[in-house]
Amino acid sequence: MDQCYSKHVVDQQQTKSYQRNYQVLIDIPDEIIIEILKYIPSEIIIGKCSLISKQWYESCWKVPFSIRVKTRRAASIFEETLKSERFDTCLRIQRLDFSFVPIIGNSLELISSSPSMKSLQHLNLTRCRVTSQEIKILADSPNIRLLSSLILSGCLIGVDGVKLLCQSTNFSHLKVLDLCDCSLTPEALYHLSSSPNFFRLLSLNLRNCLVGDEGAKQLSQSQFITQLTHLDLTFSQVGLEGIKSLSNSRNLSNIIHLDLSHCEITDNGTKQLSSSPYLSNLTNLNLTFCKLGPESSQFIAESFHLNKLINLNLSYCKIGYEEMKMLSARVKHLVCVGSTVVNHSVGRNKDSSTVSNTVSTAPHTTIRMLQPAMLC
Amino acid sequence: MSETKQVELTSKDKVSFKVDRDVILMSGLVKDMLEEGDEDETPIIPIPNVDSKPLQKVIEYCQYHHKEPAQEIEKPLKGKIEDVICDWDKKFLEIDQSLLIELIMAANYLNIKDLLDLTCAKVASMIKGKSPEQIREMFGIENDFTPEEEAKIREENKWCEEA
Repeated sequence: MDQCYSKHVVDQQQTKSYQRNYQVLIDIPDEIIIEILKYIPSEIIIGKCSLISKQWYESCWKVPFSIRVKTRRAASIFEETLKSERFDTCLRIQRLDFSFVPIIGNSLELISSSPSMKSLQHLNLTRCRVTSQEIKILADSPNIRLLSSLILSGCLIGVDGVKLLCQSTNFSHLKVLDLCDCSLTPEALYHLSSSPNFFRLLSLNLRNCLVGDEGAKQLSQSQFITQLTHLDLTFSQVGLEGIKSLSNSRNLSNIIHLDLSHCEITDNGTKQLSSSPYLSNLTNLNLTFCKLGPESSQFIAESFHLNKLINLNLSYCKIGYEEMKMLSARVKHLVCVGSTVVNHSVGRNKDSSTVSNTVSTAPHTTIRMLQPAMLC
Repeated sequence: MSETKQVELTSKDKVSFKVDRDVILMSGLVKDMLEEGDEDETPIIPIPNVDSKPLQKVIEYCQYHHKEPAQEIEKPLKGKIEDVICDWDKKFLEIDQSLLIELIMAANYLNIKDLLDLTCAKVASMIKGKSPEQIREMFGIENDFTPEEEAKIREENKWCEEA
């Protein structure tokens, strides 16, 4: 490759004069330059570091890049770059983020056929207007085979798109799959849950998908999705039955973050969660707008299993006054924005500042109440 | 009372440092050497590539961090390095540039990953806000590009400014 410059071309004479002038070492070995470059954002590596000297220029191409394409125009220039022979052998891209830039058909075809993508691990296509057609391109790509994280948030890939995700071995290394706002149906959930592709999956985002009780059951019974640490089911229409399946599933035994906000799980649902022996690793639980009454806070406060809980969000739920005290002694961050504090026993006239004072006496606990909680 | 085992390191400029064995085991190189050799009273290990000044800093680092493992530093750095490291490390890095570079070389040679990460990240943080010319000045690197070559690279890399 004549474009790549050879190293050690610096004239010895000049080297010496430089050492005298600056009194700093100039012969930093390549391996250390590469170590330094790993801490520098890709655009600075390309825009500045490659211009320092021939040695630095060479080293720049040995660092895996993380590229964020912000506009459609930038995307076309990026595509041109991938086409040029100069780059196809030495540009290695590890992360590619196209969020909010429509990337369709030909574009993606071109990108996924570039050898620069052979080390691609993270692909973010948030709201890129990707459909099942584009998923097909990724599924058939000879280069994109090692993806560990795929963000398809807001892309309407439909059941066909999901089937392709489930079938192509290109997706069998996925650890993170984000299908938030993809309007998926229980049928899609069935395919996801029964595909061996996802046995490495650690994080699954199904926010705003129609998961429902049926979908939750599929997930709970999956033979492959068994290692999840993060699961987001916000607005997924999971109800009591769904919570029952999830709570009784070994598949959630590694779960750390569970987001169920805006699901109608009710007090019975909380009872299921609190008595599940599989949720003992849970540190973050979000139950905002889950139509919970004061009993729920009692179940959580008295649970034998939810021992590792650190962050609990009970915003817009009813919380018992005594239970709130118990909870605040148990979890580190209790969020109860817009919650109603119900006092079963004494005086109905306590104002919210009294509540805050009482509960925040527990050590190391922060309570966030943006709007003061109401006492009934 | 059992005495802690010690090791004697000799720098390039023939200065000797006595260090607790546990402390210097942070160095992959020393660890390998000690495992090979037999259990002498106080083994003497020559470090022929490292001067006494950086070697002293290395020992200082190991003495603190062998009990307090450093947090991993994010790659790439999002902000300044000072935002992600502990106060001790911040103080430790208040050194001139040539010593910093010597320290990187020492960490690399002695195979102390955390120290290599810390010092490389520090240099990266220094580079981030500077122009190529300033970076060259900082490290005494000569610009060995012809103006034509430089223009060509700028042209080639335009896509990244847009991106």
